[in-house]
Amino acid sequence: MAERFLNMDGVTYNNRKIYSLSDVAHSLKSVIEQAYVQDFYVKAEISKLNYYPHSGHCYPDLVEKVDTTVKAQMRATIWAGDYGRIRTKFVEITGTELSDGLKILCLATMNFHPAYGLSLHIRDIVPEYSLGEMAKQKQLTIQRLKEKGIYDANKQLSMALLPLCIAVVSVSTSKGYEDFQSILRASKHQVHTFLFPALLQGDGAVISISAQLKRIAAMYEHFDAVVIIRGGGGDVGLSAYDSYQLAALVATFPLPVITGIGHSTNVTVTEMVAFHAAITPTDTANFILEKVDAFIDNLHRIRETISFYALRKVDIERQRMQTIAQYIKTVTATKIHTCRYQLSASLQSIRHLSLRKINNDRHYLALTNEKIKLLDPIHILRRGYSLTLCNGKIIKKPEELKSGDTIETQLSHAVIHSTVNKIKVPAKKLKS
Amino acid sequence: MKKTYTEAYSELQDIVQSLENEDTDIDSLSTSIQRAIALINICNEKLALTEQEVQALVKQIEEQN
Repeated sequence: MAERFLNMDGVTYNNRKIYSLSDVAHSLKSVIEQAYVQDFYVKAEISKLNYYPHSGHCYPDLVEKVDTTVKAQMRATIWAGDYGRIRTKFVEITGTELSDGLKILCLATMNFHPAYGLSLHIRDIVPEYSLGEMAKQKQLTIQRLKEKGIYDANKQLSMALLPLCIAVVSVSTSKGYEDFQSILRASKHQVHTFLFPALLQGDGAVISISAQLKRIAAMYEHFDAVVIIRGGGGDVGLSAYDSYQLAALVATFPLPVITGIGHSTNVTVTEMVAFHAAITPTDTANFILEKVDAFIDNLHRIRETISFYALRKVDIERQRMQTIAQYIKTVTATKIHTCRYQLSASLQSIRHLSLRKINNDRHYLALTNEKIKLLDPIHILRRGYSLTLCNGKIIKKPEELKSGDTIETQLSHAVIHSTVNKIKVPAKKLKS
Repeated sequence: MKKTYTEAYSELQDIVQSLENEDTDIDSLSTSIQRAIALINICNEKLALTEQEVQALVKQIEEQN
């Protein structure tokens, strides 16, 4: 040890040169500068942006991750002079602010500062790369939602027929919220809204909107629908709406979610899974009012339909009654006609039969008369026979007379009165 | 009690049948015929009344509609 001390002259130790830290740092700086002559492209994820508005400088922490494991990390610098230009171009092309979690491709030089150490000096960022990564991320989100079977879940809900109680996720001071409210106020319907204030864009949006949606979900039975309204702010900061966390929450929400979050040409995943994606807050209010109008129109239509069919039924029944009345008239007339005919026929029969009866009897009487006439003794007398009577009694046997009796002999046209002198009874013929 | 059309018509038919069968003697012929005419009158009155009533009712239905 003493030997070593002895050799220590502040310049060397054990015959070897002692360097100051700045010597080493400068040496390293020179090595790095020799090795990294040119700028180069590097892809990485911004784990934390570290933007300082006061100075305008930005010191992003860059990482490369495999799943959640950090494979590499490095500090970076974007000087205020570059940052404004880079940010403007990035926002213009991607519609998104440079923010934590963003994957970037940047043009950088390797920089080593003796006092601050190693860092990448970012001179430019390629927005198209981030755009592609965001699109990939968006596709992954969509794929995950579909794999979980929840992509269409919110669309499959039934909207209340008369949506009059609306939970609004927005900011009370935003123009969009004001537009939404003014449309509702101007309508003739009483739509009740309840504001759940949230950050609607940028880094905090996902957490803030999610928290409010969870609050609404806890008392969802009081509402008919949820609207998410973002007013102003252009197309920037919409990437929050592509996050799986927010999109999944909207997709599985127990109420229909209606979005009115902006004018973007690219529809966000949250809008894709929402029950209805209206573009502007005005459209969102109109969508709700259309539902209310549709319900009321439908009521009117139903009322008209009921009235139409009821009146038609009455009309049909009235016609049926007319027909039945006509039928009754015809049938009655026919029946009465038949009855009259039958009565007339009966009268004819009676007349005919009565006359026949009278004629028959008359004829019988005539016949009897003829018969009686034929039996009159006058007809016998006319043929030369006579009738002998004594004291008005017809004499049929000789024993009925005695000599001296006065008898009447009736001829056909005369009566002879004579006295009996003698009665001679011829001898009886012997039977052969 | 006044006879119904059916009762009157039925009795009338009995008289006609009796005449057809020559069950009626001359003594009761006149009485039968008088009865028959009375029955025919009853029937005719009933028919006329029914006709009037039906026409009035049908007219009522038609006017209601």
